[in-house]
Amino acid sequence: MLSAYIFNMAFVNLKNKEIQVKIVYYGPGRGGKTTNLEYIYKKFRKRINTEMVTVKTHGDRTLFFDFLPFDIGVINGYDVKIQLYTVPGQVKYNATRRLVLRGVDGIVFVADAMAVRREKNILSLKNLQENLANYKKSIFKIPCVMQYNKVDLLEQGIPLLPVEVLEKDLNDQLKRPSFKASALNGTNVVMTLKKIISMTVASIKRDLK
Amino acid sequence: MVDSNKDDKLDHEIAQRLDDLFGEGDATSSKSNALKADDAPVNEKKSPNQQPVDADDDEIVELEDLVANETHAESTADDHPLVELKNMVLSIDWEITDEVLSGFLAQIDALKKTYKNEKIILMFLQLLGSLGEYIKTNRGNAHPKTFKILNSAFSRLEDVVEKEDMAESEKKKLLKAEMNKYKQLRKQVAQRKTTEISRGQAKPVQKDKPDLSAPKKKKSARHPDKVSTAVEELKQFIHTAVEEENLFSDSGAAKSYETITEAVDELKKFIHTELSALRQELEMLKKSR
Repeated sequence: MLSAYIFNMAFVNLKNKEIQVKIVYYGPGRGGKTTNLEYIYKKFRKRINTEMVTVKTHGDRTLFFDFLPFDIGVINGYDVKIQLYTVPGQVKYNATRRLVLRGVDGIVFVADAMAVRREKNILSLKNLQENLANYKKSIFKIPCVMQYNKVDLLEQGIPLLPVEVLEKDLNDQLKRPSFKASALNGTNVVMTLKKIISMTVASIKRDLK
Repeated sequence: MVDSNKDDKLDHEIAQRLDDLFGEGDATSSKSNALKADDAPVNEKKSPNQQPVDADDDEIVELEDLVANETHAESTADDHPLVELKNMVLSIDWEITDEVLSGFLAQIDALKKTYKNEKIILMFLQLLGSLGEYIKTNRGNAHPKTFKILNSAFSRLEDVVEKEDMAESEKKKLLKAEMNKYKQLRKQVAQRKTTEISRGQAKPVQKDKPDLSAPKKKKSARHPDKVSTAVEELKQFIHTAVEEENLFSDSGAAKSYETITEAVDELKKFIHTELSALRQELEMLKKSR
């Protein structure tokens, strides 16, 4: 009898009562995906007792991905293990992005709130939709949270896109929970994480029914 | 009803666990740094349901429908002369394409005309132009530090242009710092080339019988085009170095001479290594016949 299933979504081991939840931080290059994970890791490393794996080359750019696994304990009788990934944002690394998306359960779309990055956000979201479609997944069905990052830059006088514009550009159709955030300062990084974990776990539970 | 109670219990359980793990009570390092940003989602009212929006399996909505019309991107250009260049620098950071790099270099040329009487700004533009040319030639293989230096040089240029009350000495200091980074990069690029070439030379001679079935053209790693491109790069480096030395040096001529000598030596060494490699390849070809 099979004791482990790889559902369309999470990896579930019924014998060991273990669920692995894969959450991918997606978005344009330099948008702050890695910074989100770094913040979580730096701030909570003692509590979550883990190591973050980062593959960086070409300066500080993420060439492959960042990986932050941690255990949130037993929920509803299952040991829930969370795996956070980031993808390389640069357009040329689409193959890596696609690979990282394999088996994804939840998405955090980290948009760059800088005015000059407006088009990049849109292109990246389209790219996400295409890459998910590659795995027969719909961006409209997968749990997803939007994060509008870098709002702290306003203090430095850098032109930012108003939230209304970001919502219209990126979330008009999706209508997902969205947060203004500053991954650098940690503002709403945890809220984003909590939201995506609870949405994803709830979604997996529905799939298991 | 039972299911709904179970769901509530699960939600509560997850929320509780996440609060335990990620509650910011004691772990918060700098709440003062945090913005006054709301913790609630910005669109809570719009989408109170945390569950994903239901959609049919076949509902792969047209990409054009997913996002709002992207042609409506408003111009944020204001009247700032560096805005377009900034866009290009950010774009290079995102992806290296012909379009982006041509745009970048065109911006540099345009700005050179605008600032033709501002020597320090011109030098910054010269430096950025050299980096742009180098990236254009080498694309993803450009030295990793190039992108950092490009960003930092642009930031300093912004400072110089924006802070009109900045003292001339301060401007020179900023430029010199960037030039030093550039010089360092130049050395590292030259070293990398030399290493690559010597690695190429150390390649074992192919002893297998060559495949004569198809008279295929040998693709040489040291194609003449590559040699000339490399020489062009070095020329560009030399040009910038000379300009730089003229600007900073009190005894400009002596230092410029020194730089030129150094660069020419570098160039000679490079060409010499390239030629040796070509000779070696020719020998190999002769032997294989």
